[in-house]
Amino acid sequence: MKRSFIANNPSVLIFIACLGLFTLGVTLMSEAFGTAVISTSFVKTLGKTLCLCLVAIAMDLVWGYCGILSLGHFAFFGLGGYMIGMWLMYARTEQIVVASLANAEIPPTAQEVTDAIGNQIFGVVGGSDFPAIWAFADSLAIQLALVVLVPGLLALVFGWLAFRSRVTGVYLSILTQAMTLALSLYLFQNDSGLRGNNGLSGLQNIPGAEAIPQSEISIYFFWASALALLLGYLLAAWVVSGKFGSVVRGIRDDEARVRFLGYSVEGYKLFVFTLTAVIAGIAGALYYPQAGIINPAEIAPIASIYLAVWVAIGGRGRLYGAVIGAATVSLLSSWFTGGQAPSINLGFYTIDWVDWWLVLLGFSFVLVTLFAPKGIGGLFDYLVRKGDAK
Amino acid sequence: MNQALDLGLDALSLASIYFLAAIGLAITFGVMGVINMAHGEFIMMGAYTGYVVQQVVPDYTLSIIIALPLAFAVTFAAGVAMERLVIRHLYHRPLETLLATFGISVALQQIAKNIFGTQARPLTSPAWLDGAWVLNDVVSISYIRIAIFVLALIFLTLLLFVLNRTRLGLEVRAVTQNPRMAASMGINPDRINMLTFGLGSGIAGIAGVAIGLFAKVTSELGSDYIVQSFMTVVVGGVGNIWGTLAGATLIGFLQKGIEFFNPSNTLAAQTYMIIFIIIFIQFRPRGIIALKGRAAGD
Repeated sequence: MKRSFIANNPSVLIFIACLGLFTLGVTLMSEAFGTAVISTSFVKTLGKTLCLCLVAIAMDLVWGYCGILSLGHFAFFGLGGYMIGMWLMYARTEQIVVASLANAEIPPTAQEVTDAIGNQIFGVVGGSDFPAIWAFADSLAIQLALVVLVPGLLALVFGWLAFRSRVTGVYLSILTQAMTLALSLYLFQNDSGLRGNNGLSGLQNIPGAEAIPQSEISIYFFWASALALLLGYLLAAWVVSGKFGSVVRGIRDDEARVRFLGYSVEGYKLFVFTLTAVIAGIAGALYYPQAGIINPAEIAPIASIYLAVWVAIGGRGRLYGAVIGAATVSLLSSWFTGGQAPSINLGFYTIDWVDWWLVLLGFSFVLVTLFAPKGIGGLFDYLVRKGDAK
Repeated sequence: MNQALDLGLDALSLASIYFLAAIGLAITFGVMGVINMAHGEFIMMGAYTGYVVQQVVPDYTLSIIIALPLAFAVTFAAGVAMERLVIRHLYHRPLETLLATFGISVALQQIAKNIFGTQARPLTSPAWLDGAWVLNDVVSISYIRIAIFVLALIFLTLLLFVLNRTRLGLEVRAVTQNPRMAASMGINPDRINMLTFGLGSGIAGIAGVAIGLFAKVTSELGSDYIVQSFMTVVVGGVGNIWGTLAGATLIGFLQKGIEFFNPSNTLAAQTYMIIFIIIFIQFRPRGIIALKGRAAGD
């Protein structure tokens, strides 16, 4: 008899419960709907963290389960952010422009409005015309579709090229890193059409929601992020369970053997690569409205390596590991770099964590790789085994 | 004609910079198969060593002469320490070497930032390297670039000599091809791995001094070169010095060539170059000069 999906994945239920409790707790402590223990900016930080957990799940799927160490998934994340950012910025600027032109003696023509918006958005890089890629920026529906389509298509084409010619292992990592570098260098140009190194800004202002205070908007985005994380987790858990998941893990462990068994290894890899790119894009589209700004530095190759670092620290090859790793490291990072961590006075030298956090992170990452290759998730295994032994 | 010559010289000097930055990597990655993400930070350490020496020794000519071997010594030591403490334990897990060395890279970069601050430090070249060799109105090349070209040539010769003509080179190649067989022939693979890694790192240090002479010395100096260096090695073909030379030449000429058509925009040139490399690897996944047979491994 076939066992149900939940019975095969007991961790899914635990995860749902934890996420639900966490969401409820944050909501009850927020400024908008609760006791205002947590500031709005911290709600945003938590919401962003949930998005990072989602992209970490994508990374875990492609690396921990399929064995492709992609150093490009943060590029997909950023692309998703850019796609939603284009609409946010366009629609918001349009409102401002229409409001300022409303008092003009002659009602402005549509062309005048468009020109004024172009001036507003691209004045900073010395342009005023809309590049072709902004053609659909006025339509939320199309930009939302692009959030999925752009990272998905890029991953599809790139993955097809790379997997077809059997680029594997570290070569693939370097290739994906090259792709990320190319993309971020391209976006750094002023004539890339996406405002060069200024990036897109003011994304926290949601057009049409001016009446709603940021404290409430932050909670709505927090809920949306939690929901996306939940769905992403369920999807990932469903993908890795069952026959499909076994083949994917087989590819990780011995690609050649799976190929000899008659499976289309390239097809499986391409599917996982593209699917995770789409998940990353969606996570990015939720992240950047909460961050408020996106610029090409966000998708520099180093960001994607950090993503791999989170997954490795959390424990790859297990979905909850990715979530734990991303949440722990990114929250600790913002705690340490936010200047809240107490400095340590050594007498002759004071360790200021703003300066030394990255050193600590770097070395602790070396230690995790050396002594705990299974990451934090491996700790659970150890505890469970200890419990069984008793 | 003159323009082509000028472009050629520019491309040649860029190629020699890439070659210098990548040659150490060609040894650690190409010969040993170790992904060292901290390679860029070794370059940075070399550059800072040069800077520190200049603070102590005011004479620029003398300080460069001291800095080159000192940079080699510092990064050689750092490389050996890293190999002993970290990489040794990860030889059978190449992807994790990538992540562990990335951790080291992050830490080293931040330490450099804490010590030297975020502003760029000058590494001044001696007066006799100032100025340029002017052929005519169009064609000219600065002496620093000539010096770097010469340095690259010296390294190429030196490495070819060490790897092909010395006892150490023989043992390195033996360990690379089959460590267990080499061990049973009385070679100590641990020692060889340590020395090879130190050699690759030491060369990165010297490259750092050279690069520091014309680029700004910052804690991010290394990360500017790391991806390009890896691409140089991969495009050229992993596992031999000639491949790296071919890769650096291809990338140097390509980048200058693209810049020639769109001179205002070096970012675009880099972007197109990387896209070209990605496509290139589709057709020659093993690089320009691919190893054949068993040594190619997988």
